[in-house]
Amino acid sequence: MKLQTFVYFQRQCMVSLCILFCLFSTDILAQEPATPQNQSTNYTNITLSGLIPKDFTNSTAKKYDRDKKKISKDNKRSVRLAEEYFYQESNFIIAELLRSGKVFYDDPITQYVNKVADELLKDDPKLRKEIRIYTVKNPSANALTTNDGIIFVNWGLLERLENEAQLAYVLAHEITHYRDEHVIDNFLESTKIQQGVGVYKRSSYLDRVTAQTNYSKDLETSADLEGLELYLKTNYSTEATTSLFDILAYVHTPFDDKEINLDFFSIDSLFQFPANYKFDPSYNPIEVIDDEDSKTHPGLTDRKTKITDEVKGLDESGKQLFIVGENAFKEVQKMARYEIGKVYLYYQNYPMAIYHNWLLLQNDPNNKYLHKNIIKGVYAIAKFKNYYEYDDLVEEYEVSDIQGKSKFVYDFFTSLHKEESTVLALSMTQQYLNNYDKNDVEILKLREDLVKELVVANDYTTKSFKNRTHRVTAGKDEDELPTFNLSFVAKDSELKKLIAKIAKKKKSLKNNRAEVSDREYSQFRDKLRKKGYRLNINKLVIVDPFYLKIDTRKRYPRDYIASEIAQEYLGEKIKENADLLGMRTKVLSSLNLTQNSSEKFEDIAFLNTWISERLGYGRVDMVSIDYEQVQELSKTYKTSNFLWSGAVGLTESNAGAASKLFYALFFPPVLPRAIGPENYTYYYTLLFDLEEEQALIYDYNLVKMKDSDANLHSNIYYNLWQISRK
Amino acid sequence: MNPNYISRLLFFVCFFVLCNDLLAQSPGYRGKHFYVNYEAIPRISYIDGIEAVENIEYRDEDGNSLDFDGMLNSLNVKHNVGIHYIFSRGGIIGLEATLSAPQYFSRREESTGLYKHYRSKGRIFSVNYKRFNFIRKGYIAPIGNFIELRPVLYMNKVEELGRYNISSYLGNVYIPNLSAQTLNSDSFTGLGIAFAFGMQTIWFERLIPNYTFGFTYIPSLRQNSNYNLSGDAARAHSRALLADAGWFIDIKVGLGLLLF
Repeated sequence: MKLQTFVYFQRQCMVSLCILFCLFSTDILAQEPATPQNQSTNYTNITLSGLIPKDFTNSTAKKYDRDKKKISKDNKRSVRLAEEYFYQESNFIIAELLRSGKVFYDDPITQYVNKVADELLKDDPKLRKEIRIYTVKNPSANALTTNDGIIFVNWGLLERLENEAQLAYVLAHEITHYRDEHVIDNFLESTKIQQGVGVYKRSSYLDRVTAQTNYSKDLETSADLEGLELYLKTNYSTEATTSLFDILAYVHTPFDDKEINLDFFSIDSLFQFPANYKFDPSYNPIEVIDDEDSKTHPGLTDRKTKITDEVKGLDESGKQLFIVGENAFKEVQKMARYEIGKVYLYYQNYPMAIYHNWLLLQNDPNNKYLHKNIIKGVYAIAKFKNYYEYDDLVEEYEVSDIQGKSKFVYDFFTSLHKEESTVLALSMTQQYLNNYDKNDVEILKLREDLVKELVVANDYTTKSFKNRTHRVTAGKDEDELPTFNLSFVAKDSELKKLIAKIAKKKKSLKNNRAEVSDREYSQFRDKLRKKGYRLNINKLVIVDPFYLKIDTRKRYPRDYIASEIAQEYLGEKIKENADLLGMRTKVLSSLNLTQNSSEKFEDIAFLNTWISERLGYGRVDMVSIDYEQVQELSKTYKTSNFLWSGAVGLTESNAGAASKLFYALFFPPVLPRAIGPENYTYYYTLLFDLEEEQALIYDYNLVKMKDSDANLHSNIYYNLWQISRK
Repeated sequence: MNPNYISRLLFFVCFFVLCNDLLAQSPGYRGKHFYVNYEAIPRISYIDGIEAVENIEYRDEDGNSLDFDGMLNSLNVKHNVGIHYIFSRGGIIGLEATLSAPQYFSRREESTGLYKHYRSKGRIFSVNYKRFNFIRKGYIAPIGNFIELRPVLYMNKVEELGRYNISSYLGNVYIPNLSAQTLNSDSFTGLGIAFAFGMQTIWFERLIPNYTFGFTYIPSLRQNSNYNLSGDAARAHSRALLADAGWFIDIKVGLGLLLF
């Protein structure tokens, strides 16, 4: 049932669940912070540790109440409403981001960025106290300011900057946004423009769009110039202010552009390319981006020109590129690059993950972490190819637009046959085991899974592993194909046993890979629900219950406050129902974090990353990127059963009320449907066995009823009963 | 029992069994629960397909006389109480008794010109099966929309209370004389089937408000043979028996209380 459920479910539920999970998807990884001495041979990902700041733990509703007091009563009602909604939405979106686990607060990278901010605002301690800076595990080169003084700096920006002074200028720009209240100003002006209030009353639609774009650009220019004033008060070099715009012009490419070739993918004696192997990658030249079409920011060239004019002729004496320290900057930048090497795996941009890690490998050739990331990337590509899903990924990559040398990796894997990709990945795992760590749990698991792929998807037998030297392809000369040597598989007794075991159930395993039509899925689901799950599970960890309340009749449909209250309530209700059934449960909720619960926060963040990753795989049955940590987590909680559950309450206006009233004359049961709005409740349950990384339940229930207590209880109890039933 | 009854009864029993299929049921709401339910049934009776036959009085399952000339024959409130068991996420089964206050009515006797006055007492016992199993609509008993199937056993009694001349009859209201001797009585029982659509939910984790709309089908509304019918009337009645059957509209509004 496990794999089948997975396969069938994705067709129907994936989109909706991904929408839900993207709201709290995370990318948080392993355990100990990196230390410089172990970086040459290995690297351990940064984790959430230390005291959790109040921004993460304070109630969002309280923050909203505090902000509401700032609203002037002199404003028009529509403006007051817009302002109220702005505070509500911004507080809750920021809270979601803060609790996502992507935001770091006490790691070496964030500490470093804060030191730069200290330097920048050393003459304005009051403002420094108001500003809180966190860093975000995100590969895009960006920084973001909120109206209440939080600045988020993406690791993708840090990995590209050349010096500390550039970072200081970015921070000066963002601090200006906060100090001059640009965020709320921009929102209110946009609202006025959209609503055609005041001076925009008689403006045409086109004029309004132009006005909105110009206003946003004016604020950006203002932040550039006033940020520069702040920046010039420090000892940071003025040169960095202009060179920053050159960096920003290349953010669509990796942090470096070196040529990679087939030699990297030739694996000792295991996988080799013949001399006349035909593969001609096509490269696109790297072009600078100017962003002149952006609706929010002025073009980079304009910005650079304005800043260059401002700093022209200024005295550079005593000015420095590094104040906190060059070594510290390089250390932080290296960490950011190492982290992002793995983030690309979560983003399913496997060719970029391979290229990014390969770039880092040039300076650190024996780093196990980088090798593992590359193997995981090749493994994922092989798996997607074996499930015939890789073409969809390639479409998302928009390969034809990729600039620079990284395009080689995209083209190479597009040209590679599924069998060749699988053998390449398998050879890489074996090479890693031979060269670095023969007991690496993750690589051993990947190797096992790749052998399974060859047997199930490529019809390999023990004999094939012994004798096959290249892919069997009609019409192509053998000497044009990569050569294999997989005899190590045939020699390994454990793998031989595995092959024999898989061969027996090959047919059913193959069936699990088949495309499933909506109708088939529907029949399967009905059958499964009729049969019942009978899992006999009495111990569960409930991860971050989710709740969303939407009323599409309102101008601002999403009710953030009610959603947060309902989210907390849902956790309690799940626990209550589990107790009724005699189940032992632990609820991990990011809503009731305290300053000392960083371990719990780390676990929630990791689990949400993991579930997000699994849902992203669709019907491809993959070993997780963090397989080893997943195993450890189930040991920590003494159960491998983790439940993700949530509800969405949707209220819509009653579209056919008049016709329903008419029908009610002849058939009175329709009458209640004609009165009041239409309500829907969507309740979903995902139960996973973490040890096996398999779905035990993928179920959802869409009821055309209000999300009343009774409705929720019914759904919760029903699902838990199915789980606990013998 | 009339063979027609048996075949119809068998049909309904089979239908009932089929409805209650072998789903891997989990209990609805929060476990297997009993609840008691009270329903008020404003009754509008409708009879179809029977032509008027002189001197033959038809009654609904309560014993109320049905007027052939109009659709709307009687409007009263019956009281339905029952105990129900939520045995699965898709099903509730219950035992119900429907009671109504005794009804009084009169009828003019052509031969004497006197009015005969009657008291009718009606009781209905039924097995109530509610099915929430619209799997794709997601209802989980006892919450949501349901269909209701209710085989009914009606047990009625009509008593003749006396004959009075017109002067003792006050308008449309007969004041029963409790000391009056019962002159004649007629008991009759029969089977029927009720089918309804409904919806219900739970308030305050305890109360179950509900309403249903449906029909009761009475296979035959024949008169009990105890009546002293004239030869012609008896023949007419026999003819009518071949085709007569009745549909009654039920609208029920109720409130349940979860017990344990």
